[in-house]
Amino acid sequence: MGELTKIYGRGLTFLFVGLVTIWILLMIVVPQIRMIERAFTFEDRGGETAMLALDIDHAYTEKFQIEQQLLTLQQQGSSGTKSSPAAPSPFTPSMTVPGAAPTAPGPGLAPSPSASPQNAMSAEERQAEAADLRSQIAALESRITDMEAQEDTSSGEAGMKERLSLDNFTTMSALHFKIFLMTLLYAFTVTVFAFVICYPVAYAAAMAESRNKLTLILIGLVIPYAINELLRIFSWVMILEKNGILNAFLDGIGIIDMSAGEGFRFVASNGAVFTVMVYAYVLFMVFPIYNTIDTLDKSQIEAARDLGASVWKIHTRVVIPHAKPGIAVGSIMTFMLSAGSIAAPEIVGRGMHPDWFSQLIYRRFFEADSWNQGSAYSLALLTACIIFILITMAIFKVGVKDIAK
Amino acid sequence: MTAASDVSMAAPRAAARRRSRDWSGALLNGYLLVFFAYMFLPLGFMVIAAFNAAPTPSATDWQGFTLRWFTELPQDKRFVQGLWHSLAIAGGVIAFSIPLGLSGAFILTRMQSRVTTVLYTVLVSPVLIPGIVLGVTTMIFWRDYFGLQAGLFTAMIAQTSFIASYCMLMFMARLQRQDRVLEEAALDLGATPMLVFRRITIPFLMPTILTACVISFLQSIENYNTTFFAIGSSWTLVTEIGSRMRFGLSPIINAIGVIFIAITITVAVTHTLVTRKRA
Amino acid sequence: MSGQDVELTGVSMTYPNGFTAVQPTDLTIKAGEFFSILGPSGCGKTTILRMISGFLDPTTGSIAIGGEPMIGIGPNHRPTALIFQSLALFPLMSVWENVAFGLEARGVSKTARRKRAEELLDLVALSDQEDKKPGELSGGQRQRVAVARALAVEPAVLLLDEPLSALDLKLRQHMRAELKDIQRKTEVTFIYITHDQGEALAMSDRVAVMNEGAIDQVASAEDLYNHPNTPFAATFVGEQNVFSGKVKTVANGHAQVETPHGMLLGMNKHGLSTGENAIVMVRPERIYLEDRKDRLGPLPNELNRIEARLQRRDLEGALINMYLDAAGHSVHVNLHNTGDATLGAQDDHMLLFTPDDTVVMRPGPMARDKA
Ligand SMILES: Nc1ncnc2c1ncn2[C@@H]1O[C@H](COP(=O)(O)OP(=O)(O)OP(=O)(O)O)[C@@H](O)[C@H]1O
Ligand SMILES: [Mg+2]
Repeated sequence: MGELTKIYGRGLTFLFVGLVTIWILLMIVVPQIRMIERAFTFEDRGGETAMLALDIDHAYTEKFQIEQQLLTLQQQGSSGTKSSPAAPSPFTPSMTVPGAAPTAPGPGLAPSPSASPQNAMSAEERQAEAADLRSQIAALESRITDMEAQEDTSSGEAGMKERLSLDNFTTMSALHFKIFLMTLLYAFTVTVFAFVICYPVAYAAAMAESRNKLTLILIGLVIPYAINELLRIFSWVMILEKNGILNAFLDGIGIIDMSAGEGFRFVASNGAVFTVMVYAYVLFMVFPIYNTIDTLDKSQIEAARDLGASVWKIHTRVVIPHAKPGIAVGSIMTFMLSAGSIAAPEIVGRGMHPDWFSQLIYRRFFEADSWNQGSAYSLALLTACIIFILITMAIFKVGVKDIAK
Repeated sequence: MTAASDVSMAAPRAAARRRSRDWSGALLNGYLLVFFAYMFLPLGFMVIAAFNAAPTPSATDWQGFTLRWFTELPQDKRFVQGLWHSLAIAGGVIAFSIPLGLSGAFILTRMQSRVTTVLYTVLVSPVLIPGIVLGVTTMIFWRDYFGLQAGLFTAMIAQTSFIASYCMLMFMARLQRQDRVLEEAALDLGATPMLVFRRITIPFLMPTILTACVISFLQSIENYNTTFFAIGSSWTLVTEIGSRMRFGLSPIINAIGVIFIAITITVAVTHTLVTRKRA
Repeated sequence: MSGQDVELTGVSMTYPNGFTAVQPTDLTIKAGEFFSILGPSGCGKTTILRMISGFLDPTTGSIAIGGEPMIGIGPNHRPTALIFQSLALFPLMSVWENVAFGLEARGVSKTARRKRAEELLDLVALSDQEDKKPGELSGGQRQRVAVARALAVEPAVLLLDEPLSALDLKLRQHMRAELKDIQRKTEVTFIYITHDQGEALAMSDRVAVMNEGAIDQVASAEDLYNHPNTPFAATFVGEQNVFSGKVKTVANGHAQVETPHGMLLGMNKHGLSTGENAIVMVRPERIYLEDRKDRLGPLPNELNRIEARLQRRDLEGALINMYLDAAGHSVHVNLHNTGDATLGAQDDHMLLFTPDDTVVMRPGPMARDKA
């Protein structure tokens, strides 16, 4: 502290310390503590309250689906005949944003059949249907308001007992626990795949003979890296779709016949989520490894080669040991992103495929409305990531200071 | 190193080694090609589909060239609104992250103490923990302690908590390369700490501050996982894209994708060329 | 401009990691003095300077400048100016902005600043470089900008931390003269840090020899060279041949020491008594060759004598360096080059040196081999 005041004076030092304190307290430590606190607080809901919460959830889901129908209707109206009013419903989806219902099929499931008959509707029919949908929404909304008011009174101090316990963890169903483990296993596998795929690329970039080649490789890596995660995922969904590119390819080489309705449903499977994740997060492995290999004195490789070391030996004895900190950082980032990804499973799984732990967390919070259990789940994920970080640091013998570039 | 004139005993061995090197070099180059195909083909398909008139995005079922999906974009109120939300959040994130990152960097680089390692670990931790956990904790914290419902503000705070860490790391890297003696020299010549800060420290950090602004902006605009949890019933461009994606594919998404890709390529290439020129 | 005195009372410095870089030190530097601190790398010179300029707070003791205690006064409020080891010119400012920075800090208007900067750049012979950036200057020019910048704030005490170490020999000699000149003109107190003894001896009114955080001796250049107080000061400044042994007898200011090379007689200024362990030191240029005795003029009756065998003989212009072996102990002798090619060229020698040129001390830490 003395050193800081020496240079920047009391005023600025006070400002720096104050800002960092705010950052730590309001954005890092206290929020985490609050989550932990909730994770260990069990809400003993009376059956009635729980049912009510479920009902409210269903009502929200229903309302959202109707709104989606309305939206499609209006879009078709506006793109077909420019005359019809395109104003979206003033009641934008609330609270449970596109919270995908595991039971009801989403409107995205079969886009083409649902699109064509509606296209054939006349403007009047559309208007009539829109009016009908709006009245349904209004009805649902008044019901939701009623139920929420009821919930507010019953979930007060009287309605719900809170106590400190491990129940939020121990009541985790066997299925959820299995999903938790599978998520970690998949995330780990993504990490391993990413390393295998990236290592040669990072090595090639670090060893590039000319500046032009290096620039080309780096641009080639930076562009997909900088492109939004969702778009990278989306591009693969296009490939894996039932009438997507992969099936078209299989059709082309005669394995399936798409015109006869054949085709594999690649999406909404764990394999698809996995494939997409490898693609989406692979690049988080490249840069840290490249950065460390780049600092390796190239003459060391020459020397090893000159001493007759095989390619395998050169890598296992010279390059990889040097790249350890980079590999550690890359692994930590890849694992953390995969284990905590909500984008990939939601988009690839179309919300139909609740087999990723992040989705369970989402549902605890926004559908089961059980924030404490959601906190417990988040804490479980956080703990898993921290343990992974600690193990990685121990295996690769790197400190915290090496981790962040 | 010309093989022809080399008549020593080592020549055949060296030649063999060179051959095997050529061979592994070719293998590596081949692998690079496959890797970049893997990286770029899916993106290519996505771009193609953006110009395809087919109502579901497809690169194989070509129904004619169209710009329709681009022209429909600005008519979509939720996208436009989402863009404004994204920009507002990004503005807030920059406004908070830069001062926070600077403060953290100053304290960590200008202080010698046992505490700094702990402090460092705490301050970089947001980078290392899953984004959804940040979103969740922010949402809980602000509702429980301040009665604030999740929304644009909480999304901005949640993003700031980790983007500030990235900024801090950038500033630290820069400050570690600074001769601290410069600040002392200025002080020794009678400058007030404020003048030192204004005339010496900030000018030195300026290039990094600009880079940090750009990176914070991009990180904020592109963020999905954290924002998704922290934004409640509101939405940004990216969370809106995400929810549309889950409900079926629409070429409008591809159109947005093309715009994102165009911007990304411009920025990436400019940045690479600029840094290359400087080096 | 005029100087002020600097007084250190019981000043010590222990870094947060527990390392004590400066032992408790008392030191008084007089106003207008050219004072050097000489010591090997890492002995704590910079640490002392940083305490005087206010960047470090002493762990114990106090510092006063011009009679004013400096406790709690920041570097920007002390009447000192520091020239840093690395110069620390501001790379993003032009030369004249660098020089004028101290005035900018004092709120002097831009035109007045520029005018003053030009005057100072004139003083250091850099008047045509004022709009360049420091990166576009040569080492010597940068050096002079740093001096001008420090003088611009009219300090009472100028602190210089090895300012010439980055320069080549010629330029260093030239800058020495210029600094000395500037000091004489301005009468500012100079505290000059160096590990180059030639620099310290040539420029300073007084020199402090420092070793491992403690000041061994403060003396004028002459005294330091001729009457060193400690084995370290004796061996760090100039060269010494060192023999160790035990005191045999003590009589009228001299001590006789029994060494592997026989009895050696020397000045006993530290009052050693019979039976004590001792070291005996003599400088290479105070050793004579017996076979040239006739050329030396009158010598005292009692002389120390050592037999030695020539190992190497290097001609170094005005001097001839002889490295000899005396019963496994190496001895270094300097001779003036008289133009006689046979001088000291034969294999076996008898070395002579007078008791008055020989110093007897208690053993203690000595300077390691200096480059
Ligand atoms: N901030 C610090 N923390 C701990 N130890 C330090 C610190 N600064 C210096 N030291 C130690 O204190 C001792 C004295 O350092 P100082 O910089 O004063 O040496 P110096 O005499 O100026 O050496 P040089 O001639 O190489 O510049 C050194 O051993 C150094 O390692
Ligand atoms: Mg020093």
